[in-house]
Amino acid sequence: MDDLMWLIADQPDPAAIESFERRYPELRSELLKRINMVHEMKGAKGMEVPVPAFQPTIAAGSLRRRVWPVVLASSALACLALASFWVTDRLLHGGDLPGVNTAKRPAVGKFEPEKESTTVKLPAEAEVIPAPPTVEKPANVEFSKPENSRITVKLKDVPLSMAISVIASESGLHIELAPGFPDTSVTIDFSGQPAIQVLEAMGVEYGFTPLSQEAGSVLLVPAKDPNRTAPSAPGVTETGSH
Amino acid sequence: MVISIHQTTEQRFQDEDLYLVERFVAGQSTAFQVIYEKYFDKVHSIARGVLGDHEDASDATQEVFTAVYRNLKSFDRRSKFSTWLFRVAVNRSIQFARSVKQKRRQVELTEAADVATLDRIPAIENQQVATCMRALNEEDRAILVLYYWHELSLQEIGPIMGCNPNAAKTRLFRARERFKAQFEKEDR
Repeated sequence: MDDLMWLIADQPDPAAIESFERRYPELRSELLKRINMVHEMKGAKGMEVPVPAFQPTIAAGSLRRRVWPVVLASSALACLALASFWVTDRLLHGGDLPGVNTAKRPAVGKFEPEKESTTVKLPAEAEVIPAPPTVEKPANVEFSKPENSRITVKLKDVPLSMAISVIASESGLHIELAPGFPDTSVTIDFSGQPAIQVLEAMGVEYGFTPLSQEAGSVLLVPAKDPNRTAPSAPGVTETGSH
Repeated sequence: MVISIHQTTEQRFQDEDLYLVERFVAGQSTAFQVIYEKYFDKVHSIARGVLGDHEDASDATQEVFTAVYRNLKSFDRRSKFSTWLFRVAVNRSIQFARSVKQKRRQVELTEAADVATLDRIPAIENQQVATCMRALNEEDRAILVLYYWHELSLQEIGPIMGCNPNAAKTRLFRARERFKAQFEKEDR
């Protein structure tokens, strides 16, 4: 019955209304209510509105959809940058990386100049030029002795005792001076020479003889060995001895 | 004979829509302008019925056509273009109504009196109908608008509302009953 009343209300044909009222007089008011309601409803559609120009809008949802990939990409880049910073930092500061076999990794540590290239602060007249750092030394026992460690020393008008102590500190030699050692003013300029050869050359020039004692120890005696001459081994250059 | 003429006219309109869609997809943007002008009023009236506010309806209509502009290439041509368009219009209008409702609730919570809402132009001039529509949910309003304002059949309303014609009939019946209850309440 409801369907029938709605059908008549939707398409209010006078003949259909009359027929319905005749058959169901008790439902007449109900039918009229529905007809009135449908009429009001259809009439509420209103007038046509003028068509404005088409202005594409950006919905918040679509904006969010556009922003997300950018945010994700930025986050990924930031993570990558942090990871590379962390790895580089660990490598530079000698830390172990998880999952990396450090035994096979070449030792990349903080650069520390080798002993013979240490810069020594001297009085204004003295100048020490550090030797260029040697990358790799062959496994030779002779080189490991302090007497054979190559030093670069350039001193001008300094006491001989000071020059000797500089050579000792540069080479790691324990140098002893015999009594009566002359403490004259010296000027020396050696570059990359074995310590013992430097001492021998200085001995010829300044009147003393270096005598090797136990390993790493040299005694300087104030006497010239008449058989000794200035070292003339290949690679030994004395640029400024007096 | 009348039926055949009617079908021919429908067919012609259907073909015209498809022709415009094809032209737009092929890169002729003026075809979209024709579609926009042709369907603006229908889409606007759906939005007006669902939203009950003139300004919101205008905003929602622009959103609908923006969505259509962006997604027209994905129109699969299995249904009529107008069915697809009205479905977009109904869904967007319902979404818009829900977001507006949420925003207004937030405004009420912050006790900021929205004076502008008092001056808004009502979308439905008949006050009684407007009040009754406001008491219904968005889906009920949409189906009543499609049936009474656009005079679409249940076969046409079904795909627009995302259901079959029988389900559309049931939904229409319930929406109409709820509207009637409100209408009678207003009448007293």
